Amino acid sequence: MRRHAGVLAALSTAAVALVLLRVQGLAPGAALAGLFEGSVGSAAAWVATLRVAVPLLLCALGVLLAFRCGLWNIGAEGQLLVGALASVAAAARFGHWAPALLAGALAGFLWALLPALLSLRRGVPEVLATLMLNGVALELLRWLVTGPMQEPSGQFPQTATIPVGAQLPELRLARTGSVNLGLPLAVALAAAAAFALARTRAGLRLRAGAQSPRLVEATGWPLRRARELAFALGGALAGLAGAVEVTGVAGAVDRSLSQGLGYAAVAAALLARLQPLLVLPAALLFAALATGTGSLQWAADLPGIDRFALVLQGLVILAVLASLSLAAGRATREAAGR
Amino acid sequence: MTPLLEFRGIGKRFGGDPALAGVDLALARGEIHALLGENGAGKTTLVRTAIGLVRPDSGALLVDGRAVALPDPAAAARHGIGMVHQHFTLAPGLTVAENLLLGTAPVLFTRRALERRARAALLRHGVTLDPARRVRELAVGERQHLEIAKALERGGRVLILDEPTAVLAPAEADALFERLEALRAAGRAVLLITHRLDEVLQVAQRVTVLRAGRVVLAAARADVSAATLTEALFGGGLERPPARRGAAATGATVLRARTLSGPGFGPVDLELRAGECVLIAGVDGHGQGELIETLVGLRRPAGGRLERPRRGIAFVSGDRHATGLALDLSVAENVALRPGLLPRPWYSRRELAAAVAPALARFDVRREDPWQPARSLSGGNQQRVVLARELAAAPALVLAENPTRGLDLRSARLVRGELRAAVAGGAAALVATTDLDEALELADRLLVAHRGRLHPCDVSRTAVARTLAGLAAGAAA
Repeated sequence: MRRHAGVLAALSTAAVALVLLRVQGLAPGAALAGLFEGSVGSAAAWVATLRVAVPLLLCALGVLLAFRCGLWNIGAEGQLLVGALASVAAAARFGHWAPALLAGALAGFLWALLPALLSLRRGVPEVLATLMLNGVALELLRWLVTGPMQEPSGQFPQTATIPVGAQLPELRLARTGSVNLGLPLAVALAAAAAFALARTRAGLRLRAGAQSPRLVEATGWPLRRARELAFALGGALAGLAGAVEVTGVAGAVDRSLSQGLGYAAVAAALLARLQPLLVLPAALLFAALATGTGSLQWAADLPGIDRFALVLQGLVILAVLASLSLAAGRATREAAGR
Repeated sequence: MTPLLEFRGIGKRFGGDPALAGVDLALARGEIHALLGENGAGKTTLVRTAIGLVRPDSGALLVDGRAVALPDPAAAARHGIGMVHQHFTLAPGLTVAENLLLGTAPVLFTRRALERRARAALLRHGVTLDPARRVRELAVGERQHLEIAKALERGGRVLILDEPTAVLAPAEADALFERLEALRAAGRAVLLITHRLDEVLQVAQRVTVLRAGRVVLAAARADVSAATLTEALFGGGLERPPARRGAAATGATVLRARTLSGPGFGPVDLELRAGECVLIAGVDGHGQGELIETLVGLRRPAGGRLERPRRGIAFVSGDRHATGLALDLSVAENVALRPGLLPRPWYSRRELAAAVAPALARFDVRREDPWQPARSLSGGNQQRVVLARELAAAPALVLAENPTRGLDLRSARLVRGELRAAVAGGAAALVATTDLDEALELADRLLVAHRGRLHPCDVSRTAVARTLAGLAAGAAA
């Protein structure tokens, strides 16, 4: 049952989506075909989808890391934003992408460390703390791009564009397009996260501690500090996502930088059932939904259709959670019946 | 006079073993009736039949002499049976008045009206509490009084209290007993589940002792003493041959505690030597668990000195769910949580399997697949996994708390055998258990826990009974 949860979720999502499209007066067949065309139907569409998938993947890995430690990091959005801001500053200062990426990761690390400390040392629910800090990060960004970090002309609410040397190297994928260094980096980090969780002592103890903290504490291992560190490392991944977005795609920071990537990441991590390697297809799916609906809007001139990606994401999350809890309920009943 | 509530021949089976086998208990008007028994004796199951949470397989429940069906808690409440649970069922964010009248308030009401009604009700039930206070601001004892008032307000004539003093300070406990005595005098009936003999002797009119689902003693207070109660609780009959192992241990001191104290226990002086097995006997809730957890390092002591080995401490907990295992992790991973088992910070699946294989084989985890989640094992095999993790590396110090709780006889015997084997191998062991037979079987030296302190005692059934009775009498006096 648990194994089929994803399939079940996909099918029920597709069913509801078709109904919704119908209600909106769109021919469902044509709309879905357009969605497909615009996301994975051509090399250019693939490139666009992959560009969106990279920061999503990094953020999803970040929240996943916390989730696997038994902590709820809903703050990838804020961690991404501060990461982007820090990387713009570092890119301007050093003129190279490497320090920009590092600065982004560090900012995300620190932005996540705060709620981790608040949660594990002061009992402040980390869901609340990370969520609130998202708002703080967004306001911080708004203030910075209209104040201290505004571009020199002072006309637009955005930062200066990063120097050319700070742009992420591009890797040629096909004749028609290329992706930046962020993609292999994100894939490598997904593999590293999978390895760290499944094949290292620390990962083993973190996973055990998520379920039975006292068991791990009794061995004398500093579980609390390890959880804080893992949580903050998750923030570093989200911060890195912001840096990749800035140095690889946007070139500058403005208010529209993220648009909810950090929240979609939570959904992607859940869809992947918290398995780092499954985050790859999950992030790809959500990215495809976003680019597909975007191109649909462009082609069909349907205002608001881009929001349809959000609707689909929401449906996917609900369906996954429902099918997972169905599976969990059944497992519990089976265990009780034994 | 017809009893207010009567259990007649109640039987209940969970799986194979009978939890209750033909239990009779009559609760008369104006009586505080104490229900005693070891863990797993069937006390909780029995009272759950009366509040509609467990349906008996056989027998009948009689209210005012008439057989009644109690399919759910609401039905029990209609018959005037109320329960004060160990873990309170109050809403902490609501006020006293709101909690009290939650079930009976009209659809619309003003705060003033509700508080007025609550004040009248509290007065009627003899509880002095400000109805406007929020429950989270109340002391534990005050919450208990509110719980009782709530049960009475819902028409309770029979009150069942599950270890009500476990969470109370002595002064609060005294206030509770005064309250119960007043209810008794007013013609209600109280069924008091407790572990503490001194309380029984202090407040009860009648006593029923359960052992393995059967009534082994039912008597008036005047006809029992602490000694007879202990005898009934732990199983009377012939004294077993003393299980003492003779010579005092002469090994090196492994653990030393001086006036160690913490929440629930202390001051405790304790010295453990290599090659000795020291048992802490006594009923639950006398600070043994807290002491063991402090020695393990899970709690910080509040005072005193503690010297313990830096490594090589094994902890065998009876709570396999929270402390013993990570149930969703595989068997192999659970064993690999032992410090030092995995030589490198990272490992391959094969290395992990190889590292845990000797331990799994030695502790006879009779399962071929070390990759299945620990959750899917039976309780006995789960505890073997715990042993494989904790004992396979020849620990210097073994700390255990009810290590055989909930296990079948065969598995329990294996666990005890392994604990003794660890001691024979040179470990010092400290085992807290509520199972006196287990304590007598394992002990080189025996301590009895009472109100957070440890009292040395000879390793024999009569000595333990005498010590417990003496402590209970001393506390009751």
